Amino acid sequence: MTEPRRLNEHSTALPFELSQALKGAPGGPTELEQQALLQSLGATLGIALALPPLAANLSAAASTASAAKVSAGLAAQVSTAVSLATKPGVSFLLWFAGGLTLGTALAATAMLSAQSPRPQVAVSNRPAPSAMLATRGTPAMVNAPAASASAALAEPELEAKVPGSRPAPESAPRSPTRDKSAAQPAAETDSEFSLLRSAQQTLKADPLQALELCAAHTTRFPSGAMVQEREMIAIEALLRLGRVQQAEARASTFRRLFPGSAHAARLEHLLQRGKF
Amino acid sequence: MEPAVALDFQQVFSEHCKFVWRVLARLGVHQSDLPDVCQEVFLVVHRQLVHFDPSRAALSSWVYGICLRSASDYRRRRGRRKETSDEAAPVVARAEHQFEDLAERRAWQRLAAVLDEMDAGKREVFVLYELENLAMNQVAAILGCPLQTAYARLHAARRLVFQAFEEKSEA
Repeated sequence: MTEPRRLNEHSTALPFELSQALKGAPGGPTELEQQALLQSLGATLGIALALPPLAANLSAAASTASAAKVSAGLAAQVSTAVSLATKPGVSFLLWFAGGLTLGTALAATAMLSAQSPRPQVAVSNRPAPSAMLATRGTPAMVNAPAASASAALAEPELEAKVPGSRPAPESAPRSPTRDKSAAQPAAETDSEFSLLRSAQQTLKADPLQALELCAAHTTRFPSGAMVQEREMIAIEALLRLGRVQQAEARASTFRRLFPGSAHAARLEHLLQRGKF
Repeated sequence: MEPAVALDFQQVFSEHCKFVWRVLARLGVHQSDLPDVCQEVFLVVHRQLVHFDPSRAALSSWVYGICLRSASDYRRRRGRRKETSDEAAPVVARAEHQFEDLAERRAWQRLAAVLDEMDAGKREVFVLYELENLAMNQVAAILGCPLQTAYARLHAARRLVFQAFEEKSEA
């Protein structure tokens, strides 16, 4: 069957506004949006992410004097970060120190550091060992039935603290980068993802709050698609609170339910590390 | 047996980041929700990558499929939510092409409103064929429908788009 000509191939026959509309369709993210996405996704997954294609675009930006100066200043940190990253376990510590390992985006780092209150981003030209978690696990059942997983993983003690009876207002802020919003109770309109992102964001500053948000997730999304991510956050929160036995019990359930999880290696890393 | 080429999430992310963002935006994900929905897509990719079978589909088709499902879930969620004030957010043009972009982006908003009124099947075919420039057999494969059905949806979607824009130009 011959394909019809696409609308944008005969634009003269189209209503003028329609041909304009086809040209005005949204494109990809800006560089800053990409960087923000990269940081946020990397933090959620606990892995270092880089965007190699950005390097070419950013080299132009880096040619400006100010960016070049900052980049030069960062170079020392970069080499330190890279050398540290080669030691087992240290790259993971880097992540917890608030740094995400970005690829060749030196200049972007400089730009972001001027605009963002987040801790300085470490830079490396290769993925940290933990970045390989994604695909190095043995192919196996990754998604156990979510409902049964949730039931098995529900923590009675936490259930009592679920803020389900005090829903936040409909218009609760959902800003992706504000620590302030992370500390808010979960709004009923929050998506599964944004609820867990809040938990992730508050993990270091207030692990108890993160744990409560995880419990809220269990209640609100019993068949959620991100049970594994929630459990990873909850286990880390328990470790940060010094509740090591509970963390290990929860980890053991996790291993049983998700034997081939992409998070398995990181889970073991967390448990080996123990206290924070 | 080890796969010949292990797919690395890092690589998949860097190669598809822009593409996922763009497709989601064209499928009706609001600008302010793009970071969240984009991340949802990559969390699914991260989890499911070990199950991806390159002999059955191209990687990009597989990622398209995930985008379609996430956008569809998003629209369903959003449909249940009360409309918020950011619906009326002004069109933001990229600074360097501010003036020529503005008219095109306003026109796109009109088209997006027409697409919002369509059912998901028509909208998805329209976006994949007319905006993403995919071949029709790839569109049908991604949507899991017969080729003939994909054609029928395309024609129906085009009819609705033309109707809307011709009415507007007459008005």
